[in-house]
Amino acid sequence: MIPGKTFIAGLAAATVIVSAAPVAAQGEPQYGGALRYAVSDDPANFDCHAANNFAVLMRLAPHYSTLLRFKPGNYPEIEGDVARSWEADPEALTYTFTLHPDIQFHDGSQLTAEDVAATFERLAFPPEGVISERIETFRQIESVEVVDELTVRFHLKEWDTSVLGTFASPWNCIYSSELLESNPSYPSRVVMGSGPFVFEDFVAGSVWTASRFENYFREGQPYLDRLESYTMEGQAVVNAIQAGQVHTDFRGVSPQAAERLRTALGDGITTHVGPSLTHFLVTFNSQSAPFDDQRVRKALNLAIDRWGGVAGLGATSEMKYVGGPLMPNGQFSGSDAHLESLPGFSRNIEKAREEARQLLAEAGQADLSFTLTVRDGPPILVDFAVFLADQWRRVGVNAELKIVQTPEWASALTNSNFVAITDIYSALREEPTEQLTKYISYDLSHRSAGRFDDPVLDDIWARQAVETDPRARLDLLRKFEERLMEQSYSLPVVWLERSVAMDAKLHGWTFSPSNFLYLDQSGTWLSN
Amino acid sequence: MRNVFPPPSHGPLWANEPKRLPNWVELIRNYPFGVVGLLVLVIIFVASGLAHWIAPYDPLETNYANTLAAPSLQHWLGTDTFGRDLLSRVLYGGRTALFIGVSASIIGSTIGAMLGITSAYIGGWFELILERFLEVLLAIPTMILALVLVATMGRNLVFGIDFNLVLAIALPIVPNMARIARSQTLTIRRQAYVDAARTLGFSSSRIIAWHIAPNIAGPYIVMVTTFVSQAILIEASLSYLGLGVTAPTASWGLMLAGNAFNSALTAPWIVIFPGVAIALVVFSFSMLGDALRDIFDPKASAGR
Repeated sequence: MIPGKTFIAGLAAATVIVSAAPVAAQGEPQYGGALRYAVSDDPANFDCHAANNFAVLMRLAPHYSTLLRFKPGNYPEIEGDVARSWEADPEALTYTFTLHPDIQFHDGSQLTAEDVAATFERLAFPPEGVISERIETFRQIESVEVVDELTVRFHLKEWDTSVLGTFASPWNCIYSSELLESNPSYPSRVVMGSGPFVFEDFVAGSVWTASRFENYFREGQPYLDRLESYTMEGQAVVNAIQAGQVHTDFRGVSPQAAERLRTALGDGITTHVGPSLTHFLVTFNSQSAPFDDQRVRKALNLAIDRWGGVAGLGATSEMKYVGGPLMPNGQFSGSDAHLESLPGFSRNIEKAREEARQLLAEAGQADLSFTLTVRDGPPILVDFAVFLADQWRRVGVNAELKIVQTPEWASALTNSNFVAITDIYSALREEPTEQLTKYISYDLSHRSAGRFDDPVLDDIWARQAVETDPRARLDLLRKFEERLMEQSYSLPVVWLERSVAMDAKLHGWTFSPSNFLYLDQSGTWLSN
Repeated sequence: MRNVFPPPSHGPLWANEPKRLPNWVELIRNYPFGVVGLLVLVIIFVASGLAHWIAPYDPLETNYANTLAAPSLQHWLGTDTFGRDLLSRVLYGGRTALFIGVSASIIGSTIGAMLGITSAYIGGWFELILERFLEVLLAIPTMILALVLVATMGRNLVFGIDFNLVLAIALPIVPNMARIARSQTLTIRRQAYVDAARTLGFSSSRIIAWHIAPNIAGPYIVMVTTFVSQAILIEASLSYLGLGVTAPTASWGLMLAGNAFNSALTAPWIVIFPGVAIALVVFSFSMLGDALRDIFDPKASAGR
């Protein structure tokens, strides 16, 4: 059995659907109704390509199509979205896509190969003033060619299978080439795509509304008449679900909140639980003292009792799994024995902390004190920071928490205005080339917040991306982990469980380990 | 003939007077709730002040093998989601609440009293402008005003205490105290002894400091105790909203925040004890404030 199949089987086994109504009893989709759901934040702008926040995608995904998509009900299989079919030619280093005919934008214009080409050129080679947040995922694209009205061809620099996931990414919304030509920044202000729902209105801090797109190219879809997404988070979300004000929060709720809803609503609630592709990490600013000293970073890494922390915190929060930079028990993760051999993952925490104290003493930082920047938001974010501060306190290090609102936190992360900062990383799928962009040099990936420069780490990353032998690739990934944890620029600490509680009347939505998928609501419906 | 006079007394005349009770017994009899409030506060002050010595555990010490443990002999009030001892956190949390509550109340009341006295004594344009400004502050709900101030001023840690948080809680107290001090001063400034001081050529500052301010000490003390409970409630509310004391500092408001409500279904002790502590202190300060008002101003309570 190939590792991928093991993962999928494991994922299916690990994903639990707790519901009074069996899935088979969902029956035929019904039309009509308004889906009301909670979203934690307002979007800073409306451009999918520039956004990096889950809350933005929850609002924008229903309005746009993508070239490929993750197949509903069959994660992580990929199928065409606006592409009807495609051909891969590894020899010629090309991917050729044939589009569905008669796809319309919401303004009535036709979606053609020109629009796909203009979109991916904007993503891979953004004009001045345009931000392409995930530009490193397009590094292998050399050019985009319009073959005819319904055919578009991508020429690659090197053969890289991870690019297929890039074509299916929900962040890569297809924009109108005509509008882009007149204003390359139009998507930051105007929501106009070819997705199943047409944008209606947005009231900041309150609600985003959308209505069914009658000319959506998938016959019979969408099923819902309207979407209403309300800005709320934390306890308010759970209260709103319990009171029937919203049907769900697709990001998920804490295990305790899910339990509370099950107790309160019984058959009225469905809960999807499974491993998540989201993990918490902490990044040190490697540009300045004291974290320009590898000994200090490694000491703080060694001081964290990940196994003990997960055993305790996992009972009351989503922090359930210990893992490195790749998803634990996944397709690309190493064995537990390998994990335990890495700095920071030892089960003998007292010995590790003794080594940490020695390293700090050697570095002249035995009484180290620093500020840890923490994003305010769901309580789990602060809980994670409290956990870290407590672990470091045990080796005599004082981490003062600076809890800031999301915009200030994002600004600190982007501008390297921090000493140490907690961070969250959610991946679309298990793909090391994409997932490890959080841990390579800043020159290669602006998602990497540590501002370090490590050619050795970058070289391993680049080699695994084009390695076609699965075994050899796994070996490279183990080497990457060893180098990363030894240098300790950014530390993966805990992986989360995803627990989505929803009104039992809500059907047709696909649960996956990624927060970012299945948000276009094209197949979602409400039973009477 | 009947002797209408009582037989001669064998002792001194005052021996037949009803026996006078000690002051403290009279205090308990006249102000039972105030005394209870005072006693509770003394206990809480002492317990919080001695938290370092009497708390069974370090309030920040986690034990992930013992999270959400029910009250037991090891942990009298149980443990929280980090396995921290709740009794220790309640004791240390008392320090936070009382320090912020008392300091914010004293700062706010003192500034308010100074402004109120000065505006009433000086009068004219100064009084007019100051009064309008204080009325604007009064028009904004206390909690909203503190919320806005905390959110805009950010944090300013001085010896581990967020000074901006203390100021944010103190500011809403200022106009309330100023109004009371002003009304008291308007009465006092017409008193003969103030006129006499003025006739003797004493300076305004001397008259305010030596002849007016001591005469509003009563209402000042009453209001300080009243505002302490208000300040403690605001601190708890701000911490609950994530704008007050920063984790992992022990704070009663913070102990109720985050996922505490969800955990409370399975471990109710994590919200009961900090909640009871807040209620107890606020109620005690209110009872003490009522008693002090009756003591300092018996006329006001005569009709009640």
